Amino acid sequence: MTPEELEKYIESADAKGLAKAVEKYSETDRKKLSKTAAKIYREMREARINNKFDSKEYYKAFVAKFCTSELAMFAFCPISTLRGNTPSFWNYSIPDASEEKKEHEAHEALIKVLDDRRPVWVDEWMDSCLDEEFVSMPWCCVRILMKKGICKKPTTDAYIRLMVERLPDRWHLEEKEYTPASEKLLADPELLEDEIWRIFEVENDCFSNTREIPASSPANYENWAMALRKLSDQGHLDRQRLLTASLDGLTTGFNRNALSSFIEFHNFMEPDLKEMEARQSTYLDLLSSHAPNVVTFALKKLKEIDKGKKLDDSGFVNAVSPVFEIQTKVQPKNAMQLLGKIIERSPDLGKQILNVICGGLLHESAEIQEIALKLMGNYKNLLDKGVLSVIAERSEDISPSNRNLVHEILGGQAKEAKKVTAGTMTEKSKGKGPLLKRIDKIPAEYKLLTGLDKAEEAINSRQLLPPISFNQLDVPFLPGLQRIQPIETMDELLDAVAHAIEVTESADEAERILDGISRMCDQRPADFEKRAKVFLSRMEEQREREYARGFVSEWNVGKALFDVVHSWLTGKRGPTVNLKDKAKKPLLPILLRLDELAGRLVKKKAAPLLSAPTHVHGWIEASVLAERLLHYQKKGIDLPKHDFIQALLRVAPDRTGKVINKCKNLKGVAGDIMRWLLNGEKASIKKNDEPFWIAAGRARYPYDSLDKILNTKKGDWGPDCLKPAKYSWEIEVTKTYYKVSKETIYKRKLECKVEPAEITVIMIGRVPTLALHHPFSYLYGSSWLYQWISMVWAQNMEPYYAIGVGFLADRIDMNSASMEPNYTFIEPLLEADRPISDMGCLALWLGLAGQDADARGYAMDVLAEGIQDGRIHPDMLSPVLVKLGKDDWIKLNRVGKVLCETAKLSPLHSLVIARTLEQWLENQDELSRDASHVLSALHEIMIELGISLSDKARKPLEKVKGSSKTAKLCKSLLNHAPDKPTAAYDEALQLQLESRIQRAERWQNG
Amino acid sequence: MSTSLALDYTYQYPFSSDVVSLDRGLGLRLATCGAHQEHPYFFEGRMLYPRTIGDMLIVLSNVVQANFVIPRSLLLDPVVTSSEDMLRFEGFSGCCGVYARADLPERSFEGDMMGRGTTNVDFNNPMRAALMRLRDQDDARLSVGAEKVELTRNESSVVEKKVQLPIRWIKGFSEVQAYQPFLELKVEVDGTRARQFFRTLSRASTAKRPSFITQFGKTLKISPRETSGAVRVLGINRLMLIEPLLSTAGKLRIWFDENSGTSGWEIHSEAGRFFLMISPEVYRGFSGEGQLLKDLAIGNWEKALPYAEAGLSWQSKININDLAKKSCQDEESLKAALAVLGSRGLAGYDVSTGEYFHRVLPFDLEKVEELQPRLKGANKLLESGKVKITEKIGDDDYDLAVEGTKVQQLVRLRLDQDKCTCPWFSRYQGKRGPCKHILAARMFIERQEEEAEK
Repeated sequence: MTPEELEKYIESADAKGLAKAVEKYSETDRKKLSKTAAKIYREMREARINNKFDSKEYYKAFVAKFCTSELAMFAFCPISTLRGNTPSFWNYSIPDASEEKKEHEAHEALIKVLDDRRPVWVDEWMDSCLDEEFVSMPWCCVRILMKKGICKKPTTDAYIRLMVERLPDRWHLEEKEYTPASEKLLADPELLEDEIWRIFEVENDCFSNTREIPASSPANYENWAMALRKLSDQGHLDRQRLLTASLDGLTTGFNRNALSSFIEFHNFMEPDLKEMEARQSTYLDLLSSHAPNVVTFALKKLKEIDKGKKLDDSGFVNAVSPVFEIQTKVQPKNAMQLLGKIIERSPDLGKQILNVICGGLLHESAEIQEIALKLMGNYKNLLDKGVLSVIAERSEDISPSNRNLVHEILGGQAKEAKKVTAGTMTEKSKGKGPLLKRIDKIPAEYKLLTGLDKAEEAINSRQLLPPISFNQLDVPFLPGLQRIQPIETMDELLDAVAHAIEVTESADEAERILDGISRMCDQRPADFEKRAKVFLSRMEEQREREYARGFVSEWNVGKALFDVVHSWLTGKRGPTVNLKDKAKKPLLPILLRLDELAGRLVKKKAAPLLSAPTHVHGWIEASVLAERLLHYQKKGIDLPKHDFIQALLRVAPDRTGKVINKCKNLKGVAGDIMRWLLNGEKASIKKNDEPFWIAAGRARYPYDSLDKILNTKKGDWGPDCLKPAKYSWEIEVTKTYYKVSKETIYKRKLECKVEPAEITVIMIGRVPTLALHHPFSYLYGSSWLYQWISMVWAQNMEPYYAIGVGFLADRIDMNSASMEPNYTFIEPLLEADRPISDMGCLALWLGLAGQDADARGYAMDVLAEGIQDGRIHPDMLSPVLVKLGKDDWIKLNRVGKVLCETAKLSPLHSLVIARTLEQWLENQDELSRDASHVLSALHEIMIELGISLSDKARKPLEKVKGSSKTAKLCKSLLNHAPDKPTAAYDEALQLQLESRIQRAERWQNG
Repeated sequence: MSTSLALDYTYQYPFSSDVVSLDRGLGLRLATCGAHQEHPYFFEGRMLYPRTIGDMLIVLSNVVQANFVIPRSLLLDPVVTSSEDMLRFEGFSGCCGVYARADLPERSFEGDMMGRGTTNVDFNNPMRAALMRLRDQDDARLSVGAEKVELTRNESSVVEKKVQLPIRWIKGFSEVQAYQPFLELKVEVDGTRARQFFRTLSRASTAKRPSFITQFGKTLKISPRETSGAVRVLGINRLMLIEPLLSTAGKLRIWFDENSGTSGWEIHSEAGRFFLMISPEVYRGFSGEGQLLKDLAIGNWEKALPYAEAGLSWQSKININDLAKKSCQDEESLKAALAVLGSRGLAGYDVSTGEYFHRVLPFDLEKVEELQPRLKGANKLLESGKVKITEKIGDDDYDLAVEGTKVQQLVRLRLDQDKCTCPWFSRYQGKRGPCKHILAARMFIERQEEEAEK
């Protein structure tokens, strides 16, 4: 065959003809056409990717040719070309697959080609196809090739996984088209000899949901478990071997789903007592499994054997100790119950059992510890010295609620627990006197802001201080923040841009780069052009990426940043940004600022960026802004409108004489505004200057109405324009009835509202604080973009938290997502000098109660640090928890877990958590079933601190009846009546006082 | 179509590793298979802590089976090294991001080291089941290899496992040693605190961002924020592999290298030590890091290499001081040579002792070094004359232009740090070793200097 003839076969899509033509070819003959075949295939593959295929007919014709080109590859090429290449036509030409009956002759032709050629590499090729991430090889084709002796049975596990997935027919087929799996297996009996048994040796979950029969499945529907059981009932498969094989599968290190699947199968086979007894030693071995679901299963089986009075007591006692290492409670609890029974009937095993039970003392659950201790207490006479010393050793780690049980067993030998303290207790703060002396030295204004004016009262009444209440702009917070080092040299700038194009580390870095470009845009070192060329090429590549993490992209603000960098590097404007795009409206002020900057860059007018932060979190030192404005004035550069507005919204108040003096020399509107911002007199406002004055007003009075301050009678443009935004939120419940399933589904959604509700869209570009309230259509991006939005209005984070509340609530039950870094909405709450507002507190709770591990991590840090530094108080935490808990909107198990972890940090943390939960209880009419998750934490803390619940908090507990876990905890809490608070309680109060004093002293020292 | 480079490899064991009933108790027989299909007999002895050893080996087997990138097992077996006073089992995950080693000292056994060397050991499901079955009260023996094993083809007991060993897996397995000398001990807590810490880790959801672990009093604290001295971990779920060992742990030590972001988790128990090392990110295996690339390209190890290699005799600790005295080489060059030997699979590093140990990975490693993609790329650039000096600045600093695929990359060679304009360097800024352009530039300058000397 000549290359031209080969092309003709492909062009006419004559697969059958091609196969026939080469049937007698030797490997040498085939090699001659190998390159041509590979070349044609490559070209067609590219055409398939790039072609848009206008019509269906054209596409079908193309595919037929493409399939023939693939066939040619198999007819002529070596393994190096074919490895891992499953012919694409196999995806839709499965001869016996009932769901897709599109027969294609290329399929038979391929089998013929391989049959005639009998290549030595066919086994390797088969393995490589099966090992692909998404296997498109049809199961039946593998079997045909094997049966014809063309290939050997594949050794890879993927072969078995393919059988598991593809052998059974699809469940939604009609009965006449459906062939049950058992029939298919009987039609290919070799599978019963080997492949079926390998199911238990390969990681797969073919027996999952064995008892669920899908709706609208045919009457003769069979899943894998049903098929194997049927075949064993009919005598085609050995039942005992199946039972043993499913247990063998449980000793593998497979994933949880695969292990659960084997468990389901074993249960589906319903082994009788005799069969279970025969496998008792295996069940005992499975108690050592590292997989909790396997241990649960083994315990269940052993319990059934015990019920049949066939349990090997001694064997169980010997094997059970690893169960106590499992984190969950159910397995240790079950094991302990069984041990309790054994000790009763076999007292000779008593000592050994008590020894084993010591493992339960290390369990984190107080409930497990309690069961273990009670069992030990019941058989005190059997406790030997060894066990007693183990209990004594572990008593430090035993939960407070169980310490009395330890004391009962040990008497005076028990060690007292000592909590690691997160707070800083200094020597000089120990005792009432020294603390009061320090408070005396604090100025009255800071005493008031930190609540220390009530210190004496709190000390005398042994209560927590009231919540801290301060406005960030009233305290010297800037010295505590890290300063941003501006880029100094062109080399540094080029390196920073090079890195940012690939990965942008933070919004601070983005601003630093913009400032560097702005200041050095007139410099052109020798190798600038060469380096610019490299950057431009990389920027283009980045723009094409769907999820670019760098500075430039097609997303959000990426195109505007591209424009800035392009304008700087080339002196020509880059791609045009659509400023009318509705999705980009909330980002409009940022886009306008970048557009303004790009315009200056092409003119090579170097000047500092007015809005470049001098400190982290977007803050600008007032004196630096004054200097920048003076530079503009000196150089005669026009005041950049959007940059100036952004700068004003980032100014940190500094009313010292030095700054005011600097501003004296500022002319025009910039001077008027800067002077007013720093407590000077207001000048008259020109119409065009209104956006500047609004920005300055929002900077000076972030939470007040500007109507009177700016003497304007303008209408209401929207929230945080002239009027401050007011937030409210509710959990809204909607009811939907589904006809098919006849179910009513209740959906709960957190609705956050802001007033004034109307936004004048035309004002968005001029007033960034207003833009923050425009709803986002979407906001997928890297964390630095989110952080950048948080830096729009440094003086007031409420709008940013409000955006975050929406995003966090929507994803409350979803895992972290790289392109939705919602943790950034919680991040600003970590700033020690930023008070935690209502919206901030809501965002915090959503982070704590959410499934997003990143957001939860940050929220837990905020909770821990906020309690320690005094910003978080039960009075602010509990109202939000009460409201969120309405209609079971948040999951109390998650809340319980984070509160429990936080309470472990110090006595102060314990006390704040306890009071929060107490206040939450005070507002509950009745408790939900999952209240046990928070009550158990509260119970432990109450015992640790020696405090009891208020009368109001006891009321909902009194209503709980029954013997549920919640009921038991309610009873314990109601019965808990300590004589006096413990030393830990006093330490908590002292830690709080100390932390407030430290804050006030820090502010005092500037 | 698969494009990854792989070596065909056949594990051929004379029998399947198993557990047999002995006159007194159980006998755990591990089948061995060396690089040249030999079947060494290394060890025979009674385990003094059967359950802990069994757990360690199961966890090792879990590491070998694990793949945190694609859920696919490669069917790779662990290797064991027998030296004068230690049995070391090593394994490497299929995703090339997790390395594990179980160090079992002499004191964990009553028995004899029969031979010295490294071999693969067959780990199969029945074997795992047997390990799971071990309890401390058992009288259990362990043998690595068997006496007088002669392999007969077609014998039914012969176990053959044909696998494709990805080059990146072999490379990672060897190169992982290069990271260990840079690890610093950051945290040490007792077993109880270690268990408490692991209980706080979330199983239900995994963070996308790194977590930072610090010692807080006697306990451990995890936070999403970086603090000084904290251990950075991404892919916390990888740590869960060692959780089953915590029940018998006496202490947990955490090692960290701030430059590479690699952390090492070492569990001490009565039976020995278990060391787990995880790569800086889930999707970054150890093979692609190129920590030794610069050394391989222009290192100061070449002269010391033969002496270091000659000094290897299956020691469990290689004393550099002694080696330096014997070979009259300086310690630094010998350390560099040992690092290179480590990257060739001829030595391992033990962070606990701070010393290398001799072992030979039982794979054909000759091609691995040649297949370092960046080194290969750099050689290609040099051979095709795509490197030229644009400016010489002072005695040692140079600016060079290296022709890239689309544009010319500009390389600056400086004493403090080399830089390049390519995306690789810009992204990682040298943290993952030099890019191929910097390597090519360095090699170019070195060749020029050598020629000038001649």
